[in-house]
Amino acid sequence: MQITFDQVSHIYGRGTPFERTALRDVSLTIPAGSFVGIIGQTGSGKSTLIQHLNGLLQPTSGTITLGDVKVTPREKMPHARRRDIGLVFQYPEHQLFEETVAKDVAFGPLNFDMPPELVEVRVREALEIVGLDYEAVKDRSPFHLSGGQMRRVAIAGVLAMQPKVLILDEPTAGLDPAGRKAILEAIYRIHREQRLTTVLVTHSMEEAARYADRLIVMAQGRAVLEGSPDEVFAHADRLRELALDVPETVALVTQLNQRLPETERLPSSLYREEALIEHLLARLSVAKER
Amino acid sequence: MKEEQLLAFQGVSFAYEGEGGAAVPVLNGIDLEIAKGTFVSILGPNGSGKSTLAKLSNGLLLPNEGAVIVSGMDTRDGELLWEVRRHVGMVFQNPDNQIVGATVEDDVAFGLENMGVPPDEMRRRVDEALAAVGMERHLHDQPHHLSGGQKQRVAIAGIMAMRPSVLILDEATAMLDPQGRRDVLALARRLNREEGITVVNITHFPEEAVFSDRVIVMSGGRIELDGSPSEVFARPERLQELGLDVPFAVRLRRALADEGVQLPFVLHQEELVEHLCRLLLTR
Repeated sequence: MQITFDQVSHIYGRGTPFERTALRDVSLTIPAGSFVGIIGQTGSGKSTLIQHLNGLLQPTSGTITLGDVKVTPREKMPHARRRDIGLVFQYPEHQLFEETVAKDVAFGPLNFDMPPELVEVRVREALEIVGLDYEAVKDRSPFHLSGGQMRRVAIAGVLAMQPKVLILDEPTAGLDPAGRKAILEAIYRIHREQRLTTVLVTHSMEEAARYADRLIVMAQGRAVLEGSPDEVFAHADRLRELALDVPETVALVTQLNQRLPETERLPSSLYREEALIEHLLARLSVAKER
Repeated sequence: MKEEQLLAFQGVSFAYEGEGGAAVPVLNGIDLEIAKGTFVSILGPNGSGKSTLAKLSNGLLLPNEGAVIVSGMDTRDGELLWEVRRHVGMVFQNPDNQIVGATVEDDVAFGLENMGVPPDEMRRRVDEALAAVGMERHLHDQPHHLSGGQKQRVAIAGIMAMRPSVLILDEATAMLDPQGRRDVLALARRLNREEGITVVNITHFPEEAVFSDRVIVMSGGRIELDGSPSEVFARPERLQELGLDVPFAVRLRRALADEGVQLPFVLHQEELVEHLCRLLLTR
């Protein structure tokens, strides 16, 4: 499902002393089937932006188009469309509440009047996607699981709705490296298998470089950079001005290129670690054979 | 002269009550001494006992076996608990559980008021702590209007302002953006260097650990590795077995070495750039 923002602004507490503009004239496109990384400093408008994607917030001005539906300051997102858009909040495990894992994951689908037999199938599938053994966890209390497992249960609750668009707000925050990788690989797999449109809000440039095919950089409520990862990472100076990082791979290539003569420089497209290693090996292994 | 040990774990075991009342062991026989003025990083997978170790350090939890000694005070002595907690300041991962004030400056001043710090000194410390975490413009803001990352910086300022002798950061940077993380770490390092505050940084980010004096790796409730960053990160395969990451420079060097391109051991990216440049130019 393609999503476009046309001149979208959002003002919190309009007309009160706490009035604050969180989004300013944001125009952007999230193509159907893309994996979009949204990066930006704390307070840059990322969370406000994604809450517009599933109708939790309405624009103060401008138009959002999701497939064939338009959302404007006056037109709300239809209930039926909200079901197509799965939003995983920060620390989603804080929203677990049911007695058992299976009941918790089933809550959303049951709420949208899915038949119970179908719900059970969906719950089983969703738990397996996130790497949990359905039989082993279904009757356990979610509160007795580890932090990483609780996070996966919460994500399964969104996946069980079989959304067409999956939005994740820092899904790996606080997890250890193995847990981060397990969750992101699961998300990436289901993104491809079910041809989802996926939006990942992250502070990790490494995650953005590894998974996203498109990046949006937010700063002070505006979308200031938008494009493929190598297009965006080519603006390393701009990113640093915005107090953001570039991936370590990009930083290394930049530092190497500053010191190497023009003929020896590395291409700027090496933002994925595997690609960088392959390039270095190709050049350095040849050197050894000579 | 023996180094002064600020924090000592002596044969400490801890278990919590799990599903059905069964005891779930978290820490098993931990012996650990942390010297005054050091910057220590603790790495370990989720569930390895890192946070339990932190909570035992200031008496939020008490050991089932063994003792935890803070500057000569046993945390099991109820009369010393207030004093223990003044010595050991702790910043947690979730900012929403740590904010108490109606405004940002009130929140930062809360601990100082309890300690009876004079108003002038209080003003100076609150301003300094907020500037250090980059939140000085939010002095009069209400904490609930801040984003998660901003709240965390305020919580960190609140602890920093109390100038504890040990500052424990329990994954305190987990929710911060890159700039926020850099600021908080720089602040912790400065407090360590200039004020002599002992810092224990519990983290999942190996890049945060390369600047430490000492790195402790926990796994399954035990101390698995303990040494300088170069000693610990010289064993990337062991760390990866434990589900942990190693710094980018260490990982890249290792990947090249696996394919027969040898470089000297590096911890920091600048060293890697140095070696790679030389190699690329002499090919």
